[in-house]
Amino acid sequence: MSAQPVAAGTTAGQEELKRRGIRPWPVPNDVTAPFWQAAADHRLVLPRCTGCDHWRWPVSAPCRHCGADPVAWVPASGRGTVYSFIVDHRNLVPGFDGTYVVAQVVPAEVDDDSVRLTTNLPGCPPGEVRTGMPVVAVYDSVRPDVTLVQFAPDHPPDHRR
Amino acid sequence: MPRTEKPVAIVGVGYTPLTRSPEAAETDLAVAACRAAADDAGIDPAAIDGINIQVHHYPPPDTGTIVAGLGMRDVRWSVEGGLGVGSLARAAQVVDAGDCDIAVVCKVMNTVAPVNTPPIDPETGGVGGDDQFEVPYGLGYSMQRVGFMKRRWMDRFGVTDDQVGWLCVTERQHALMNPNAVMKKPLTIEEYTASRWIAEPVHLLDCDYPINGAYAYLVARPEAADGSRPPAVLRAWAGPGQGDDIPHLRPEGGDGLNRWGREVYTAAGLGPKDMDVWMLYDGFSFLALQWMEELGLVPPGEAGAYVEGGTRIRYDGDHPVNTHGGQLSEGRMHAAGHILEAVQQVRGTAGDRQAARATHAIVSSAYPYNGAVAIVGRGA
Repeated sequence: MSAQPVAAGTTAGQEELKRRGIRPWPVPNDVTAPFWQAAADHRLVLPRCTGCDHWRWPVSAPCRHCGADPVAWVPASGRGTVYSFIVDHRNLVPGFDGTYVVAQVVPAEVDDDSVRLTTNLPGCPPGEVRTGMPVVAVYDSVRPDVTLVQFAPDHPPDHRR
Repeated sequence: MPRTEKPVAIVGVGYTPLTRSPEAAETDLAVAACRAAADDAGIDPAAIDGINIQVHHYPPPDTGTIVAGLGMRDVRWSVEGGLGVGSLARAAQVVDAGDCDIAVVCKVMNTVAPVNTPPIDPETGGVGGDDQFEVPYGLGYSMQRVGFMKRRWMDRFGVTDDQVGWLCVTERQHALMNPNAVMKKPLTIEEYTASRWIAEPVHLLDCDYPINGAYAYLVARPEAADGSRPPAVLRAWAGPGQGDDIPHLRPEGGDGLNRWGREVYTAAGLGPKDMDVWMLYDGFSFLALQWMEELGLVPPGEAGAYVEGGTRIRYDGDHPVNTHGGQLSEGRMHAAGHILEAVQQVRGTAGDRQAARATHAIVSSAYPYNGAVAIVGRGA
């Protein structure tokens, strides 16, 4: 253990977490708690502005359209499409090693590109990711109290069967 | 209107050497760059009465120490922080309003300062704020976030890895003609495409090079300088000059001439065809190509084809781009390098890399959606 406490957001802090093999995990707050509670129940909810009904992303800032503060979380189908993606090789974030995908998914309910949820596209090798590919939400319990929303390839139904 | 009432110019530019490791105190670097800018203008540094010191880390160097080092008699305007072309515009407004007569703007870079690491609790690994939706998925750095932008743009317009690489290769050719540039070896297109991935489609060589040093420029009425060379007059500016750093969550653009471009041309009474040399922000390579499209310098989606082969954007080409080497090859000066090079070009003092035609330079900073843009022109 280091003698001095290491501050959040510093290189020393990152190195300490890497050494201990700890992956970062989300800490809900008053605004985001409903999202993570829904994820624990294997449901996807999306943030909508209570002032003007526009989608809100990122959720912390007041609405870009009307300035309202509160968001309402509304149920979503879990379907969406890959908006963009990267294949990380540099591994700067603690707990992530090798070659891994990070993609942005626009949920089916969002008619513009305003909401972009992050995912690692489990089950999809880096070479098979495409912009625009259909995906569906899956749920990954990474700690006893934390379930991450992920998205996996949404294969079209097999009509031959 | 995003322009001054009466002409305001960049009357002097000053550089310290750029080094890979810190070799001097930040205050000493700032004083040296500001003194060099005053000397370039033929102005006594003691006559400077406005100062804006910019760093991207905390704590900033003490402005009072720099004021003392310059021997400034009066400090009528002093602000800390800001960035790029937005700060150039603020200084010009202050001079135009008469709040001060000679403002110095100085960017100081220090690689020892911590980089922007994501706010992860070092004890527990917990992440709050908006980062809680990204960092737990291994997403926490700018060089990853811009990868989403680059992928969308390349996919939409069919831009190739090679095409982006030609910007990097050409900037390196320029750097070899700039004694202050940190990169000293030639770069081939093969070396670019083979350079390792950071966050595919972002290569290591798509990222600007962190350095130490200080660049400064003096903003004043054109007649404040000694008149030994034409002044570089600020014709107009536009854009917020960066309010956030979340380009991966903002509208992607890509539809051609954007709002800042329309505003700056209207204010200047000029158009994209009047822009001879293009100093476009390249903190990440492809941003300069996106700026070309967003400022209407090339049609939407055609920047990749325009830079391919490098001849059109070389110092001796149709429209020279980042003739100092850009941040990719001169070093990461957060657009101060672009501003200083625009000045050198329009007044005809760019030496070996001087463009044949440089009546007007366009210069941009930060991302096209939230950055800033200015037009600098050769004065009488």
